[in-house]
Amino acid sequence: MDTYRMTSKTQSDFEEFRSEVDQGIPLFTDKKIITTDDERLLRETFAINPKQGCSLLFCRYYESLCSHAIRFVHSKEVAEDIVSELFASFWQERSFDQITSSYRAYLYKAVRHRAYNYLRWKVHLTEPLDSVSLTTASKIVNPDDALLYSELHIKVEFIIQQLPPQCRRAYLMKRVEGMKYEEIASEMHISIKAVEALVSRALLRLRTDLKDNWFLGFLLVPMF
Amino acid sequence: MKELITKEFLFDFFDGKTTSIQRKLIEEWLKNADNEEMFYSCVHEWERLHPQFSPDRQAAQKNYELLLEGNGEYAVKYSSISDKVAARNFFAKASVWCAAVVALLLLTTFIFREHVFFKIYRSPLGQTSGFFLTDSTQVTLNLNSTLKVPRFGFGNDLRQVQLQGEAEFKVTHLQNNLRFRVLMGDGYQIEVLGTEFTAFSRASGKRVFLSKGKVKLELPKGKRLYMNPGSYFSANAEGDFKVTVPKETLAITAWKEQTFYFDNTQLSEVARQIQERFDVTVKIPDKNLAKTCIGGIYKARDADELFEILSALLEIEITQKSDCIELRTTKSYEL
Repeated sequence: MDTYRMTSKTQSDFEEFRSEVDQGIPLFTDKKIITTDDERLLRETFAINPKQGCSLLFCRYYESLCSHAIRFVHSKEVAEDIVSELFASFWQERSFDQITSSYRAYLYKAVRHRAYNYLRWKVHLTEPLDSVSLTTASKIVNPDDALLYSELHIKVEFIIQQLPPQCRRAYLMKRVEGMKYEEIASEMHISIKAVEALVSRALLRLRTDLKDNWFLGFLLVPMF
Repeated sequence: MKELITKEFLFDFFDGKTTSIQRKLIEEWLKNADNEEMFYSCVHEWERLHPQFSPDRQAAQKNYELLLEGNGEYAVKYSSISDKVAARNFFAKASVWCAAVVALLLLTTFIFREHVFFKIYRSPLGQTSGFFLTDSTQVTLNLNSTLKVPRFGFGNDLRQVQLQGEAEFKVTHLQNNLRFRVLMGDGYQIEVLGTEFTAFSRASGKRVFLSKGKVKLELPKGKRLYMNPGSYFSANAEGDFKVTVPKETLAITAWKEQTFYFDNTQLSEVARQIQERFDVTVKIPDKNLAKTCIGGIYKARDADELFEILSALLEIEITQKSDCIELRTTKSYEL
């Protein structure tokens, strides 16, 4: 009796195991097609309740997207605005319905594009901004894009690193921290006029360097 | 080649530590769409490991939840920034044009609100005009006068019109006792139920003559007055007023027949009446001439007609000056 019981138990266990394997196979092939499975839960949530999906997505990517955006725009406020804006249009224009890639790839591409647009507007202040809609831009796949955007924030960082220390300090306080000229002046123990001069010098450097060495080449990229 | 590109390799690239040859490798590698997913996955991980600042996610998420729940404030807040970022996009949006058109329409309505919300009656040149209002009140409008009536009906509280100039009203008494009010400007107003009266309202003064029924007269500074039939109220520009019961009312109502009624009237008074009715300035420099009295009923559709009569009557010279008409005695009269 005991032996029988034991066998039957093992057999049923084995059967359970087998059934798990059987069910696992189609799941496994699914994973292969989609390639990233860490967003599976998100996708399932979106299928049932897009609102909740957006909320989860926001929770998961907001901070790192902000962190990515600030590399381009050098302003906490602008970075947060760009990301918030992106999530707003993601929901309002139901972009999640059209996504073929992962949410992560879409969001990063979109935030880079928005940040780039902002930066370009900053650098070419006098020139009108191209009205590139986000969806069309993110649909066009250009293997170079991903690299170019990464190189853009590297370049921006490089330019700032090359600035004289005082100039960099004033620029970062003004742009990144969003401080007022008066506050910076009292912290650096210099006059307000001097702070203004330092900040505008940094901006001018950024503008000329990006324009001459880099941006013109970038503008030739057919995606725009 | 795939083994070459690792997470660490990409991290180095993000940090700007790769050579241009390595960059070429990544470029090749990225041609495979699947690798793009890995690329962004690495971007994400890199960002998580190297945060640049700590954004206030809780506050932002709270705002975002509001948006998801259909609260528009968030969208409005961020759409203004997207305008900043995409300045040119702004005018490409149909909604913006719609808003602009609506705003323009509202502005136009505001500017021309008098014309939109009121029908303005004006007598044709050199003629009095008679018409009925929607409540079948009969109005006779004198020359040089306007009456503003609400274009879209009187409403249920009050029938209210605005008078500038002179008009005779025959107000119909409505079953629901709806009051009829004439605003005369400067704080004067007439309120009636159903009566016949003549109202005069100009800068030079206000006058009301009641032929039938009863009217309530609101005066400036909260004073009020009830008038009986046949009584004549007149106030000058300074606000002094008197109520009389004239024996002869023809002088008051003569304008309706386009006549002037003079009964031993001084020429200065004649000039004043001409000025009132035809809106022409008449001057009589000679004091003696101004005191000359005339009488009679004269029909005159315009100022020239009356001047013709006067010149025949008194042998006076009428000179048209740039801003006024001057009456002088002719030389023969002086001699």
